[in-house]
Amino acid sequence: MNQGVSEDHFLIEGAIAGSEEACARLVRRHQTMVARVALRVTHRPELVDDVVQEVFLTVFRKLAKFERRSGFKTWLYRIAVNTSIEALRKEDARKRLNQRAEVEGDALPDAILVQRPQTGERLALNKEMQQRIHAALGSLPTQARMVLTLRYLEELSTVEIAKALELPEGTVRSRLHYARIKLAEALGPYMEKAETGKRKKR
Amino acid sequence: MSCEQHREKITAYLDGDLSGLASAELEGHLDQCPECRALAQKLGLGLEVYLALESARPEPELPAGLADMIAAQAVQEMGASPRPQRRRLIAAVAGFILAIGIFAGYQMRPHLSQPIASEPPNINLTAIRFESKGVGVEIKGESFVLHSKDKQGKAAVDLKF
Repeated sequence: MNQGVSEDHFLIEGAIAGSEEACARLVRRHQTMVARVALRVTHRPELVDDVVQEVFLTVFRKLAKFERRSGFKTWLYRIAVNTSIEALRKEDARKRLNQRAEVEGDALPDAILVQRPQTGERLALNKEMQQRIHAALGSLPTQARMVLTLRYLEELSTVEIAKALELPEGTVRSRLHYARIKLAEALGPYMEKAETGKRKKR
Repeated sequence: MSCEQHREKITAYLDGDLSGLASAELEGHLDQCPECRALAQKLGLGLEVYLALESARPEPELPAGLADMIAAQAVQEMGASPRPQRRRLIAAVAGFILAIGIFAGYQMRPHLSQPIASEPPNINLTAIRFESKGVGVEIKGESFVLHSKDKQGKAAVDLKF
């Protein structure tokens, strides 16, 4: 981790001095992470490339003023999230919201197995189910997708999320809890369908 | 504590973010309350599905030349709005070009009049070095090189003309 941090600092210095190579290397180091966040928050693959570009251009514009207190990655997450939300807002303003499942069937595995945490019971999600669940994720509030992504996919702690979003930790926790409730509501109907035929517990 | 108050803690509990005491207290309630228990199970399963689905997606692929394109644009933008260090550099360049211009003009004067049998210019243009406001300038033949150092004394920018 330390080595990663000092490499970032080295590249940041180079970028501030105007080295194109340092800029390019800094982008390559972090572009996949930014793309992941952009994809999950916007839920629109067609927006990802533009968001990634906009994120890094913003980073370089502000780099000279960047204070190292919060860490580069935290700062980068903040810009990634804000840029994604803004891109989505512009896109939604431009056209009617369309929540069609955006993942091609070919790209999905034939079945995904999920295990019920309490009982260990296994549920199978076929391709069609996966696509529907995908669409359901798209219908979640953007903010919910955002905190779910940061906490469970990027595996940031609530403290780190609080720093990235400049919110109190308590607020992050409530948003996370609310996001999980919305998630369960969105997925609920599919969970019922995916039951393996066992008697449902009340 | 009401059910509502207990429920607010469920996510933190599932994520392992609750203290031992608070966890034990919530577990005690969940044992007794079917509604809250059902909610905890729903939230737990919802996350499992979310993780299973999202983990199965491949990492997003970006165009191969994107990083280079972004870097080129970023550097271009930086060049368009010079920062203080670069302003000094540009000022030094401007001053230098002016000096060269005056110098060259002075050297040209002998050609405007009758050739004078005087010694040729004794200033050698192939090796001039000086420093101006932290910017090192070096002339080699027809090209000149400007070296700029940052606060740590490391070479930060080298411009060649």
